[in-house]
Amino acid sequence: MSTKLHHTLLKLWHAWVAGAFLVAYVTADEDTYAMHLFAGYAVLAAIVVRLLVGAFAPTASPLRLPRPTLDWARKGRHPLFGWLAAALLAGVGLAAISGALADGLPWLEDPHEVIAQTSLWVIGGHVAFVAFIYGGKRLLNRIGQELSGIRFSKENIQ
Amino acid sequence: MLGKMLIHCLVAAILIGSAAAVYAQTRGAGLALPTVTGHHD
Repeated sequence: MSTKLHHTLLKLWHAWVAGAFLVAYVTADEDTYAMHLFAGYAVLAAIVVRLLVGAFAPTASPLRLPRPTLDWARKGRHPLFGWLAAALLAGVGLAAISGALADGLPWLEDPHEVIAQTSLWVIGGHVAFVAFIYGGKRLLNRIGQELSGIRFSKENIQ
Repeated sequence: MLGKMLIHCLVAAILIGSAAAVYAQTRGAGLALPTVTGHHD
C-alpha cells in the first residue's frame, strides 16, 4: 500500500474517532443515553482498530503507533505531535473502555466522566498545537514582518 | 489543512450522530435485541 493511501486511511480514522467522540460528548445525558452508548462504542471500536493496525503497520507508515521522543533537536515533525497523539490514544481509549465497563460496573461512572473531561482538555491542546504549527506560526511571522515593515518605514521617514 | 480536518470531523460526527439517533429510536421502540430475560428494553 502506498504512503498516500495510508495518510488517507489515517485521516478517515481521525474523522471517525473525533466525530464519534464529539457525538459521545454532546449526548452524555440521561435523555440521550442510547446515542451516547452508540457513539461511545464507535470510539472504542476506532481505538481498537487503530491499535491493531498500528501494531502491524510497516515501519515507515504513518499508520504506525506514535512513538514519543524527548529528542527536541531532531529534524522533522515536532516531538509534541507524538506526545499528544499518545496521550490522546491513551486518554480517549481509557474513556471509551471505562464507559463500556460502567454499563455493568456503575462505580466506574465517575472515573469515566473524569477521564472523558481530561481527554477533552488534551484534545483542546492537540487542536491548539496543530493550529499553531499549521497556521499560528505563519500568522506570527506575518505579524512580525508587518511590525518590522512599520519600523522600517518609520526609519525611512526619519 | 486544519479547516479540512475540522470539516471531515464534523461530517463524521453528523454520520455517526445520525446512526446513533437511529439506534436510539429502534431501542426506544423496542426493536433492539431481547435481553437475557427475554424482555425488550
